Amino acid sequence: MRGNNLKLKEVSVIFNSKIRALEDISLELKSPFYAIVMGPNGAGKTTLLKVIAGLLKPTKGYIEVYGYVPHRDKGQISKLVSYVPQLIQVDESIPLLVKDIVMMGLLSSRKAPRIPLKEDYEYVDKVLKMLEIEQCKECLFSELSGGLKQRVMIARALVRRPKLLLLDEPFSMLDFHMKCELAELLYKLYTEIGIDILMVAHEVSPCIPFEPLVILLNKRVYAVGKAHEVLRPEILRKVYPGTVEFKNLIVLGEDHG
Amino acid sequence: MVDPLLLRVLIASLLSGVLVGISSPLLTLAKTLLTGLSMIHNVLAGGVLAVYLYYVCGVSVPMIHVALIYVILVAILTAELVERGYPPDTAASVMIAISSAITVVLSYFVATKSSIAIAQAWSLVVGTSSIITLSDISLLIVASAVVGALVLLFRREIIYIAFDELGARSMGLNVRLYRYVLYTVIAILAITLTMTIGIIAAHITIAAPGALALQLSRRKYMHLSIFIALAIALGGYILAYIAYLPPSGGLGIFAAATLILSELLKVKR
Repeated sequence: MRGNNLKLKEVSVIFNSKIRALEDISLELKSPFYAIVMGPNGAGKTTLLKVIAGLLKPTKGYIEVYGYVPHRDKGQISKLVSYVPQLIQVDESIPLLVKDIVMMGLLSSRKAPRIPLKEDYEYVDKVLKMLEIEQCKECLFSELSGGLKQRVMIARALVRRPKLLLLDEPFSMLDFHMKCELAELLYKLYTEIGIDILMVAHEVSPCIPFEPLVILLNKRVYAVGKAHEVLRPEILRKVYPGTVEFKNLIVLGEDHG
Repeated sequence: MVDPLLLRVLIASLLSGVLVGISSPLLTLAKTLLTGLSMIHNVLAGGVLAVYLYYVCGVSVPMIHVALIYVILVAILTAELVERGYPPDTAASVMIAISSAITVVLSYFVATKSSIAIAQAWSLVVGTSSIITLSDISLLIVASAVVGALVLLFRREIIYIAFDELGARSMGLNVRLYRYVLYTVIAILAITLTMTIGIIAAHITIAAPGALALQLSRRKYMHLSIFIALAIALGGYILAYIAYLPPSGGLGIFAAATLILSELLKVKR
């Protein structure tokens, strides 16, 4: 690792020369961090994660993740950063066992042929146990509940021993209790293992007890700070057009709540 | 004494069964079955190119070599189009259109030089077990070995990419390379089956084993696919031999019977 920060300077991503996904994003997160990116649909949240993971090259600007430029130093970045995509992007019709999914997370950092060794199986078992899903290791991914699926995807990311975990909408399709459990699990990874967490979410409430850093994004960064500092009507109105404020209730525009 | 023709047919069906059995689930899971079936049509363009090189350009290269190189090239171009964002069926359609154009244009030039040349090119795609030769058996052995090795080595990655392509990319897997490998497997499968058992029989055998195996079992589908492919190939050819049917007819009847049987098994479970 050559640096300890995640730095973006005037980063823009423009698709097909006209669709602006991100506009002049400047942001600096100092490790360790437990952060949530919030914003309406089409705000560029997933694009931001993809840029950080090196899956997308910014059209303009400079980005540095622990001293490496993601789209240039892909090899280093894939070792330091683990990306957990939205469950909706995964093809559940593919009959893969939980243990095989997690194992591929471990083997992918090696050269082909990727033949698992005895210690690999042991390490996968250890990670599955840590995430409390060891009883599901022989299950097909498609047989699991939403919460367990999310844990499997996190196990696949963790088995790579990353420094930064990027999670794209990890709370989607979970009930509130499961969301809280998952937020707590991510907080444990942050405090006990020292993994930096950056997740995209539509709601901050499951994470509130852990005082996350909140980044409000709608193509541009509108605010960065603790929840009580940034989730204020005057800022939310800018990020979520159509936001209405009642006495003790703020109704966000763009059908988010 | 076993009829030598029957013996060759049995060996060919055994080998083609293994070849199809190991690759068919991979094609099904990677959603490239249609690409596999359409790849068969590119073989003719390869054959026409070979006769064009011989009759028009005076270059003598064995037809199978030209066809194999051409089909693998088309497969890799198709893979590249998919990599660049084309849906697989669109990419396959674009390449078939190009191959068809090549076939028509080159056939025109070849026809002005020889009246039998085009028939030679067509012989590449109308292979049938009734005229199966020792060189066809050699081709099946080599193809089975190559495809078997590629599938064994890269099956895990190819299936994984089908499961979560974005995740695979983020983990540093070379998705482009594995797509090339998959499409090369499809190309070898297409040309081998077309040349040995014929275009119609290839159409019948390529899709059924993988699709049926995955319907019956989500865990042991690979073993099941090989079993089904062998059952269709052996049963189909023996039926054709006994009932004096064309091999594709025997295979078709057996594939349909297997499908019905698998549905009945599903209902019973």
